[in-house]
Amino acid sequence: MNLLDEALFERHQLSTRRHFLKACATGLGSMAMGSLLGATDPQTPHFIPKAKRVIFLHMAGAPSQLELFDYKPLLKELNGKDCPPSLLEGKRFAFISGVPQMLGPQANFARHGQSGAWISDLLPHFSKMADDVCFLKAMHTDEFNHAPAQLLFYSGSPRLGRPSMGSWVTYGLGSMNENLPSFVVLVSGGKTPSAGKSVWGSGFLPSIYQGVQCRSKGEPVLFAANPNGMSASERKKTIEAINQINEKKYQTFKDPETLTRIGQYEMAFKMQMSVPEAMDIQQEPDYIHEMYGTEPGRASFANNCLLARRLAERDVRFIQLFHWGWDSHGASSGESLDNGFLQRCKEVDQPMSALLKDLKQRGLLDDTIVVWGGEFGRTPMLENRNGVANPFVGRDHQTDAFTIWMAGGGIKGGLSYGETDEIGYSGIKNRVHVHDMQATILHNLGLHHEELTYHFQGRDFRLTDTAGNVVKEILA
Amino acid sequence: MGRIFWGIGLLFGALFSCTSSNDRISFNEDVRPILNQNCLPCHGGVKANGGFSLLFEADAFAVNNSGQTAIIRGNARKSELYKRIIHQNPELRMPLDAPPLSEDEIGVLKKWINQGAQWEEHWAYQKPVTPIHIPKDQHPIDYFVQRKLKEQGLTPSAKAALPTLLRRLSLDLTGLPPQKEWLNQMQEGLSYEDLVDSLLDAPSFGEKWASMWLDLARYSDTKGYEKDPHRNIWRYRDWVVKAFNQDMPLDSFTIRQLAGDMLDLPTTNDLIATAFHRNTMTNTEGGTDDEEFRVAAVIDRLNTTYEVWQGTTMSCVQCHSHPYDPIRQEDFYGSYGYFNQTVDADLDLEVPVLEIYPPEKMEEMEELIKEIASLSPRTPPEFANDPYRLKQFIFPILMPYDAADFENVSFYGDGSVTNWIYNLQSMTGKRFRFSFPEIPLSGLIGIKMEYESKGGDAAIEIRGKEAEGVVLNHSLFSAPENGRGVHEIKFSPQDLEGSGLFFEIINTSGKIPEGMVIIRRMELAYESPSFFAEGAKEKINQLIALRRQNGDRTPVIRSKSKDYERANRLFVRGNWMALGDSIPLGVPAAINQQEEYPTNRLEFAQWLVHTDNPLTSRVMVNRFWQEIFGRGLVLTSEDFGTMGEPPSHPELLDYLAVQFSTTYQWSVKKLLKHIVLSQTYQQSSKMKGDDLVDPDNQWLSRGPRWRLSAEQIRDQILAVSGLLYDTLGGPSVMPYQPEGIWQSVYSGAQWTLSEGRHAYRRALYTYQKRTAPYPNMITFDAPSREFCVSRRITTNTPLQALALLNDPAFYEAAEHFGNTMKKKGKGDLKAALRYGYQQALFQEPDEEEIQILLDLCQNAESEDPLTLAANVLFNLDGFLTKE
Amino acid sequence: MGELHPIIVHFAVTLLFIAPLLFWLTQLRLLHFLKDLVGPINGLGSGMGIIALWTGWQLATTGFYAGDDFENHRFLAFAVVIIGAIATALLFFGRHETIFSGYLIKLLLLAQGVLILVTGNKGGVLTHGNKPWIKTPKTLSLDKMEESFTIYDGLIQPIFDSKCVACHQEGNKSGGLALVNFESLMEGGSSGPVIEAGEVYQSLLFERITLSKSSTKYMPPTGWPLNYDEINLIAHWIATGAEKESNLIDHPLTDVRLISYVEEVYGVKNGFQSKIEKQNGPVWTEDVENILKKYPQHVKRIAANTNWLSLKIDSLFSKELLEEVSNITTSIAWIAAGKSNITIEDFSLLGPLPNLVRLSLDYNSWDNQAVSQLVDYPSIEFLNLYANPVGEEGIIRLLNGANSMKKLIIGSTLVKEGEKSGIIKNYPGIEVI
Repeated sequence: MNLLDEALFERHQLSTRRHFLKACATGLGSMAMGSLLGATDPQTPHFIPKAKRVIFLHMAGAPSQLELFDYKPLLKELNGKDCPPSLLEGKRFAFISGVPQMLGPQANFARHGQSGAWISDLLPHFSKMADDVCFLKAMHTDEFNHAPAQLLFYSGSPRLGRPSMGSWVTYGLGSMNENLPSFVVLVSGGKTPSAGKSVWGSGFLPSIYQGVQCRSKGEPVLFAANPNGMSASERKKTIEAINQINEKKYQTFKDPETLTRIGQYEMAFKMQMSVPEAMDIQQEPDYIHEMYGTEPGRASFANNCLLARRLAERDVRFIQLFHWGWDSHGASSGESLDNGFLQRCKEVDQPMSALLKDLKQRGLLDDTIVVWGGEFGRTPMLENRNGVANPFVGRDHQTDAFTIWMAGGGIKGGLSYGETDEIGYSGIKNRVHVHDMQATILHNLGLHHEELTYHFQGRDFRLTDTAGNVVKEILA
Repeated sequence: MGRIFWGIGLLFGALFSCTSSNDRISFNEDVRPILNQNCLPCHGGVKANGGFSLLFEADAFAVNNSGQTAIIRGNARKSELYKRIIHQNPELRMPLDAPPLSEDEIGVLKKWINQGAQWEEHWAYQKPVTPIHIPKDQHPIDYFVQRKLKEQGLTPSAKAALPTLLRRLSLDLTGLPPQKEWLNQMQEGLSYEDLVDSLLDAPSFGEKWASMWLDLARYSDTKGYEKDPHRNIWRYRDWVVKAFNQDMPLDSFTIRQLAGDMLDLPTTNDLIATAFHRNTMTNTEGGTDDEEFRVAAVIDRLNTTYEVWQGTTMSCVQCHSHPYDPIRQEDFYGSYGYFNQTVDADLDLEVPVLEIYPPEKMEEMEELIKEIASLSPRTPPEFANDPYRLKQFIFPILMPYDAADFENVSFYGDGSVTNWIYNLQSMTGKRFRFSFPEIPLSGLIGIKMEYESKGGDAAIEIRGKEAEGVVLNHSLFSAPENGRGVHEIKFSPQDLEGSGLFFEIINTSGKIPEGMVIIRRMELAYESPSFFAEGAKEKINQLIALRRQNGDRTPVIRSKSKDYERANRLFVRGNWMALGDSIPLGVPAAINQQEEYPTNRLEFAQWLVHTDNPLTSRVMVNRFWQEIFGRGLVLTSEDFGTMGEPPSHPELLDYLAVQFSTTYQWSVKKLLKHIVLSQTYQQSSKMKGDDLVDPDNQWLSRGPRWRLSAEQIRDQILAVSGLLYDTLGGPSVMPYQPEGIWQSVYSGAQWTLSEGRHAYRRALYTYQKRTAPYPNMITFDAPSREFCVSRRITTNTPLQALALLNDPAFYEAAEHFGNTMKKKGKGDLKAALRYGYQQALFQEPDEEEIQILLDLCQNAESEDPLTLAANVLFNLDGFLTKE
Repeated sequence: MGELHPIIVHFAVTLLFIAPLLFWLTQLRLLHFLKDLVGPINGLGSGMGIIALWTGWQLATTGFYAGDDFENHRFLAFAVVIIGAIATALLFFGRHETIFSGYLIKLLLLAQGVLILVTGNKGGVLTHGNKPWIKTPKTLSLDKMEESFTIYDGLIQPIFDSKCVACHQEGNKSGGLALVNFESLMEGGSSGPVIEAGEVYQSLLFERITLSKSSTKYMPPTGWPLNYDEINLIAHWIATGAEKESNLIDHPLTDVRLISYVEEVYGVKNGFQSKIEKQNGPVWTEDVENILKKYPQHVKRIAANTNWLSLKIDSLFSKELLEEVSNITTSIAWIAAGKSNITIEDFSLLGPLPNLVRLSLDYNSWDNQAVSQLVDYPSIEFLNLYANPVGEEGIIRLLNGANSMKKLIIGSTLVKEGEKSGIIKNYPGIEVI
């Protein structure tokens, strides 16, 4: 039985037998002991961390770096010209075939902040934050389809079944609060990401490290409300009863899952109490709502950004936002650079900038890493599905170069790291692979990505698989 | 001087003499893991850097770019492979840009080479060694398991308490909780074995095992993708249930699903079975290229087939040779060919479909058919793909969507055909054709077509006998006033013998919509004696009407005719638009144990279940084992390749495989019975302490203890509370579901609570929508059925607790159960609780537990405390777990 | 075959040295019976010598070896081999009785014995240099990262030590240049000064280390060449004035790659470093152990590789906790007391907290008077006062005393925007948000 299970054992026995029953007796409200989501366990960072939390803003579908951050004047000139075959050789696309045309930037760029970072006019609010963020402009990945790429991005492997980054982090560091899940997922844009819930699944790690999806519309968490107006105290009594009987069950069967279950019921009750409170953005003052552009009651990215801040304040360890609808192929107007894409930009620009500003003014940005990006980038060519131009302007999937930005939590602000070639087709300087990004995030959380491992099927697995280097250059 | 050189020679000799030890290195156990882990990423199926690959023996010992072979059998020091892994210079050392191999790893490779670098075939591709010796006095399963236990220094557990065992058995075989009376019956002499038999015969058996199979078949009630609209394919689900209940041998079970349409005289059931591969997703989004998603579907069929029957991961081979297993990219397209020649083409109507009619309507139709037949002077032609002979008796009226085969055209629900398709770009250079090969040509004098057209640019070309046969007619559709018209074609009396009409719609100007036409129905005219007397006409129209009103369409698989056969070409780098060489049909050589390769889909299916196939029986046995023990003998039931886990009990796996495919003649019931009769299965699932070292119970030193599946949890709650409406089959139902779950774009589909007791069916029948699955299925780890899933990963989360505590559907059951408890208790609270506990957990509560429940009820605020108690019972570990 | 030279030459050396030795020994009665061995051994030795000569030649063609040492080595090698050959011939065919040959042999063997040592030594110098190699430069412990740390001694000289001094040393100045220290470097070599302060590309040294490797002028001609980062370090130092005393505080590195290189290889931080990163914190007492056990929720070890502790104070905190923690006050580095309603009075229960570097007091009710008392905590680097009723006055009183303050959060306090910008102006070293 490996160390982790042992830890689980002890912790469970500890928290269940003594704490929980005692706490029940003294009322759950005043419960100061840890939940079983790792709060009490001695999980410590390997070295002094720069950050305690992570907020991931994922633009599902992969936004075009060429319209937002990676400014390529030459591409402007080449606009409409046939793509030189040399660029196509040995390349794989999701849809491009034959000889596509080059597509110039579909936005106007300017330098912003003291750092003079290039940001397009599609992100007017965000351009004011230029000096707080670090752009990684030569990101690259291995997968050119959404689901596998998203899996690689979050689990380090394009196949299903590996733990997601959030699970690794909570597994490595434990949770910091007693009554909220330490790994929360918020989805907007009407759809979950292509890779489905596996991008917040716990894979082969114990299921307690799984991400919990919260809804910013309707019940924050499905079935969080008691049936038929059952009172909280009544609910508490039933859970007490359940856990007492399960406790006896554990005595006979000694099945660790039983202990986990006891913990999950306790956790469930706390969530019933604290989730609605945390998720209630009505409590926020007007100026905050204006800042984020939130409309309570809607499932919007803006609402989720504000929620992200509220959850960060409550020491939720890993917060993952997905905003769907960035797959701008140009096959339909909703998924085109000349329509849907502009819409998406409007939806995210103000909220994500507000989030940064808000975290900063509260001193939270100092120990919170904020990451923004998609699972891959987009081609400098106009997509020509089946060798014929699409009805709308769009770009195909692109693995060799894309831009993400990171901020806070020990990341150097006002830095543009990495360069792509003159048309933004591949990185030529300071390339950063997805695994490197993962290694760097873990590093700032005080974790050594090669030491954070879990033994499974006869092998020590880790988030960064068998690769990954910390990008020291971007550390503050 | 001679002495000098002798001396030097001696010195050099001493320098280069190397030591080697004798113990044998196993390629599969010692070497392959190292290669897979460190080398194959760059020297495998994906990349063969330096022209060197370690995927196949041939490649590994072939001359690579360096002009030499990298491995020199018997001489590590001369082998470049060895030199490079020990190289000082990191620029040259392998693996590149990675930490060097460990001392041991290097040692293993060195020894292996020095011992002659013997290659071994992967265990899963070798045929099981037979006969397998088992001592008579012991149950074979126990024999193998206990041998392993000894090796591991573990001891088996005692037999589980009878109630526990019965509950386990019942949940395993039928997915439902056990019956109280069984205990009495067994006191009256009913044996465990008898009970097993009766459970195997219960109709609920099929429902339980169907739920396993539907994960593999990626069964869903919707088409997937954007709109994710409804798909009428529940009859396939029912077919699976029936098949398990009839204990259809797994070989015919296989052949029917993969090639039921190719059997001679297929029954409707055989056709429904082929819907297995119509569970692939259909993209109905405007602007998409149907061909693109047809290809995607075919690829999914191939991947699914190989995962389900061969435990082989094919998906990666689409783009390049398999990174780890000896499968070349050509093999993918060799097998792709078996699935590529089917009529279906990602059309919204999902043709080909099988129309099925309610029995009462069938009688009506039979009546009409009789009358029509009686009126017909000549027997009309038979239509190959028509189990109901309807097409035969509406003849000489043709409904276009009855065409045997077609190309690029699409169809509408009223049976009409059109050359209108969404993706305008992809029209260029395409031929819009459909065919009726059965139509007799002799005496044919004309065709009348009801059509719609917006302009005069659409033409029809009709050929006889074959696709490129004689042109019988080429004519333009005139543009009718109101858009609707009748196009009359007259032939000079046909002296042609034989049969077959081949239609092609031609857009003469390429303009849209001017070149578009919709052909509703076609009526053939023959010189007398005609096929039917005038009187029959309106009966025929009645027949057509009946058919349209009552036809319920299930998508099925049908083979293309030779006329419109598709070319089978390799996709360069997996891109379906970059066609490479054409590839002959075939299966991976590594797996094929026969001289010949299958030449069509049917033979391919037969090849899968042929006793020579080393994988199928192993993979299948492993699946059933996994269902029962929660963990396969091969943990990675989806991957028996070299990256999968090796079997924990190799001999046991092979024994069961052979037993299943030969002795039991593929009988699933026999196999399951064999398993549940073993002591291993009947062990108590308590952890004894000495087995703490084996938390996953890999070595089976105790019985299986697992959280119930999503289906079992719902079914059990309904069954225990008495709400369950256990009727077999039928369209999927919609039990209670919270608001705002369905959020697919451009779709008006609504979740509407099913009528009456249908809201309380087994979970198997819950409507399954791919993009918005039923919450409690997902929460309890059921997959969302986009793709084949071999193994559900069991989780244990607060959300599950919340669902069980608060889901109104479950709480309603609790209320219902609470009332029953009240009745049974006859005013005695304690008795009521005791009854409830027994009902729910199928065991006697101890005083403490009853006391806990009692306290709860006595301090309850709500006026029906027993509902609370029921709510508690439905949340107990012992209730949610099979133990 | 060149690379075989070392192997073979060692045989030759050994044998050609042993033979004379043995020869003298056989003069003793006791060992006389061994005399017949001398010939074969010496023969074998000179045979090997010949091969060594040839392989040596091959080695020389690599061009890595030149200069007086090399010439001498080659000449002596020839001499030894010839002498060895003659000696052998005499040993086999010469008539020992005759005075002449007897003495000649003695003489030859003596010469051979001596020469072989000298030759060997020269060869040694060629391959290994006179000074033993220093593989990696000595790394500095982090707390050395104060103003005292100079770029030249800390970063540049170690490069010379590892890759140049073998040939450029006092006593053996190749090209008249010694690189043993700042002064010798600045003296320059036969062709004048090698460093032009501020002028990287005018500096001869920089030119020679950046020539194409094929060039005969490329330095170093043998051994490991300077790597990209070492060259950039030298460039940085020259560009920033090539002073002996210049340090990374006045002349910080700008190239991110170089920064992380210096950090990795030399263990030197470029920018600011928290106190707790420089020191490991006081060794744990029993109290620490107990408190960690007793308050797993509140007191945690900051990281596995340090003794520093963090303290979380929530709204349910007990005075008892604070008092107990005051026993381990020196171990506490971080305190998170947001939304805890803790007062300065309660806070002072924690004791002096000499090593407190991070303090979060957001959403509390600390006013000017309270905040200004934080001056008593000398090490605070990060202070979060978000949403506290504190005004400009309190902040300024605090900042005047808090020397180690690096970051201060005063959002949603009584400090007005104008006042804030004033503070930012007057305390440039501190990031005020």
